Amino acid sequence: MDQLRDILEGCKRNDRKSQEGLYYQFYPALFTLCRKFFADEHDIQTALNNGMMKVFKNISQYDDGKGNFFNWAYTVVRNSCLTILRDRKSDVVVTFREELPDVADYDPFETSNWEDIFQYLNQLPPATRAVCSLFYLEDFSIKEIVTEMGMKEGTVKWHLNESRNRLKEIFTKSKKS
Amino acid sequence: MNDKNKHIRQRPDDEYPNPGVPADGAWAGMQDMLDREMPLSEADVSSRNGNFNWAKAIKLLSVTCLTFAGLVYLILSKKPANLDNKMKSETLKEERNEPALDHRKNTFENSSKTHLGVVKPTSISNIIEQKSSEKPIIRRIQSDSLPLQGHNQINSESGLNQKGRALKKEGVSNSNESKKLLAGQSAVRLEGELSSGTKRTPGVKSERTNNVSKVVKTLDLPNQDQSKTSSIIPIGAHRNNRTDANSQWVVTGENSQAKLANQKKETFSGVQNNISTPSESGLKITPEKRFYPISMLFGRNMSSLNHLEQTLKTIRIQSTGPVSKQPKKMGKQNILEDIHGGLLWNISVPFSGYDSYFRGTNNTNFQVSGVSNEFYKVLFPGLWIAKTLKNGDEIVIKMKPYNQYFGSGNRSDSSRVRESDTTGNYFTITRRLLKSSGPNLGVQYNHAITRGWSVGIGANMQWQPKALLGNEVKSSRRNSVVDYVPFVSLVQSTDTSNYLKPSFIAANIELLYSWKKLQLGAGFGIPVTSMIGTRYRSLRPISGQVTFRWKLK
Repeated sequence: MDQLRDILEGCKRNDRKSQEGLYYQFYPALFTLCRKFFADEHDIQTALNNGMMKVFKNISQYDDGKGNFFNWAYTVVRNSCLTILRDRKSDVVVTFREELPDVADYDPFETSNWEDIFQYLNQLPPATRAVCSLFYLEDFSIKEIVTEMGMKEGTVKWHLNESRNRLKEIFTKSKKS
Repeated sequence: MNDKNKHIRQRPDDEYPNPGVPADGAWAGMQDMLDREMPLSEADVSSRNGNFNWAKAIKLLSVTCLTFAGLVYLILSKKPANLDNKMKSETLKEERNEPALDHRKNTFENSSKTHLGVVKPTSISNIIEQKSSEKPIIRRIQSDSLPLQGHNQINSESGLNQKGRALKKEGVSNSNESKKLLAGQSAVRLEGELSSGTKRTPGVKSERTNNVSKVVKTLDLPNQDQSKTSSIIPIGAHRNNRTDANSQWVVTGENSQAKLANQKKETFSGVQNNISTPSESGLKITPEKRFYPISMLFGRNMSSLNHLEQTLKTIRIQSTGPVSKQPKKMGKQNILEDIHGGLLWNISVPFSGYDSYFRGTNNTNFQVSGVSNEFYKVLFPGLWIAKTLKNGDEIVIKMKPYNQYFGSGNRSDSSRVRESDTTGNYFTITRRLLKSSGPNLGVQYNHAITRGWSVGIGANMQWQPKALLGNEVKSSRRNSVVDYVPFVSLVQSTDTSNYLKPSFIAANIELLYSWKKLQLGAGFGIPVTSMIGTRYRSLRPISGQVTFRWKLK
């Protein structure tokens, strides 16, 4: 903790060494976070660096009395991912259904490791992947996804249902193979 | 923020899959963004990577070493000067068999004090005025306790003035003497024919002063003619290491004497500066050659004052010439004798990168090196000049026209180029510094451990006009190396300053063995400033080195 505190103090002074240390320390976790939303490595790195830039710029606003620094940085980087997703207008045609199944009943990633999760996510369209990641991996509620993604609730549910159906097919194929 | 904690399942120390993009490449992009949006101040840039501190530290260390070496040299080179002092002391030895002044009836044979002054005759009769803030050498003397009746007379300031006036009236040839005697604040004058009976002025005291002192003792020596014979006798060792420069004594002779009559009238001025005591200088004084500081007389039983005149009589004053110049001549001779020089070969021994050891560079940047073998450059000799100190240590200056420094294949630069297609893929180009070459100038201090072995530590300035790089291109699409060029030339210019600094400072430590005119050494060298010019990283690879020196002179 003392080491992290020193790094944060250095980051507040705009010290490159400290910034580099913080970047390297959180890089695996935050790269994995961004990978939940993007398949392309360039997008991942763009989202990650945009988020870390916000972290470095606003690090003086961080209050350690309100929570863990990693959670704060994690949230900032995740919001950076969501910002990119919002800016990209989805070209997916959303089909609304009157009755949507309860998407919370089933967690396709419950027993999967990271490699499997990313393998499954790579099979999904970008918007569906983002909603699926937020719902199943980030524990966002549908209302929170609506707020964060700027989607309608039905659209979010559709994406969740779509991800569930696709992942079921993938799981079935993988089991058969 | 607490309300969103439930959305965070990850922890920074959890195990995560290997990121597709290496952290180095990602940080390079992050640095670019930081430099654009959060630029550093000049001070931050200079202190980044610690380069500035290292450079400052090595400069300070170098100056300290040079200063120390200079001090050592100065201390050691003072030995000849001590010898000179010894020689000077030798000249002061009185030859007691000299009959020049043996008409005096008192001697110092019973005294154990030694005279340490240097008496230098001058052709001009003068009196050295000495201003001193130190305590005067003359102790307070009760005149009525002086056993000088009929021989010596010690005057206090008032007495001095009186006697000065008296001298003036008596037509003392040297008017300056009279003036100075009158002006003196704490002067002691011994006048009169010491051997003949003169009256002592009663109630006259010799006073001690704390400021400017002019101590003058006048001894009226026998002289056939009417002119005065004046000698300024330095006062040697006395309290507080006081020297003769703090006082003057005037010895005048009035009476004729058989042997003095044949001597030319001389005036002697005493100069004694920084003369060590006999024990310090190692000078052995035999009882037959003892001589005595006049000043000591006043601190002794006053009966010893009777020996004063005999001392003055028996001192044989020799002309030593401008002794202050003598040590300089000897010092110059020693400097030339202790300077050596010869040829030097210094071979770098890298921990990796032998495949590029003899490979040369083209004059085209980032092109494949077409020069495959430049082994002869390694054989170019350098020059060295060394100053051998008294204790066997050496200060060596080395100049090498061609010296290699190996980067051990460490990454000097990394950049990314987006592929021409629209898939968002990119290439990562990594350049690794294999070696740099150029002239080298260094200074080294070799400390002699034994007769043949010595250990040296030094600082070197390495210029690197050319370098050899390894070029690697990696594609993000396949995450694999798509191109690799092992040897790429790099020439120092403003365009390549990011990859190669014009020069850097390196420190080295060596163990050397000397055999006749040859010296073989092995050690390590490490740059204390970065070899590459990028602000974000420093490259200071350690490498071994073998040194071969051939002594020509």
